[in-house]
Amino acid sequence: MTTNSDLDQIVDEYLHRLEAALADLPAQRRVQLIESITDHISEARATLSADSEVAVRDILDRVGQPADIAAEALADQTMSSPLRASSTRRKVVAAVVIIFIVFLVFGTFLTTRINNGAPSTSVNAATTTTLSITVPNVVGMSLNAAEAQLAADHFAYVVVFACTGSGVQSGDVEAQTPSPGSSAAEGTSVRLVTPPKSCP
Amino acid sequence: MIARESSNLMSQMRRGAIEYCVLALLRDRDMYGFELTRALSTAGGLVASEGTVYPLLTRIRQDGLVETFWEPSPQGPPRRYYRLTNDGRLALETFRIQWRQFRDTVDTIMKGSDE
Repeated sequence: MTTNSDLDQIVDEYLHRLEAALADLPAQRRVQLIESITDHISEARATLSADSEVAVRDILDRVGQPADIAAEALADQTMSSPLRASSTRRKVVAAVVIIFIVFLVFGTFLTTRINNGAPSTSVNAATTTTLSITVPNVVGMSLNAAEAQLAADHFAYVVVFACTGSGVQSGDVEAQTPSPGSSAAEGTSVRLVTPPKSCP
Repeated sequence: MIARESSNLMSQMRRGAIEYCVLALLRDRDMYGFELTRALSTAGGLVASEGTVYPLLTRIRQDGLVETFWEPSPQGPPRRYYRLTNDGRLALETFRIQWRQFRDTVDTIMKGSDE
């Protein structure tokens, strides 16, 4: 007889194998991918009339071999489509921004040299401040509002469904890490906790 | 050797087409991840497994062809829904025209060589 926690363990083992297979992917993409597949498995299990080992293994078979998913993810990263105008535009903008930063840093470097005769620590200070930004407060917002806010501030995010008994409604952010007001590198993945629909 | 090259070609063609199949599925209504991948995997012969669709979803989202939003679900946790953007709609329409011409041309030539 397999219990519910045995079935959860089968799923967890699968997700661990997937995580290992995705090791070569950038952390942010890996986290997003695992989040999507975790949600997929829960959705598939929710459609079962009875959760059994056979049914759960069948769901995992349909999701596929971790190695296949990893191969797809790595191949996808290098692929580009001819119809992707907006992405090209974004790349051009990114290139311009990088060139600008290089000039800025180099400019600061030159000015410092001219003024003081030696490069000072202000060069390092200038580069660190462009990379680290303040984490906004999204606690209490809906997931959609939180996503918009984080995107505007150049942060990624992952959603964690957990019951903590605070009474916040499902779909609203109950807690976040890193915490509001702390500073983090641009592109950092912020963990958002929201209760699933039913909390015991 | 020849057989292997042709299976590689098929996988390349599939890879290119799935992206537009996703956009086509989203043309009339927004769908959540599980719904989308199930629809693709039941179509048969298109995807190797449901899990391999997710890297593609992440990519077309980063490319701005689709956007996502959260909706409450009647039974479980909120769902991430996918919605076509204007860029996505444009990419789909462009592909539909090109695909139809390409398919017709190949079909015509293939038919000719049958006889």
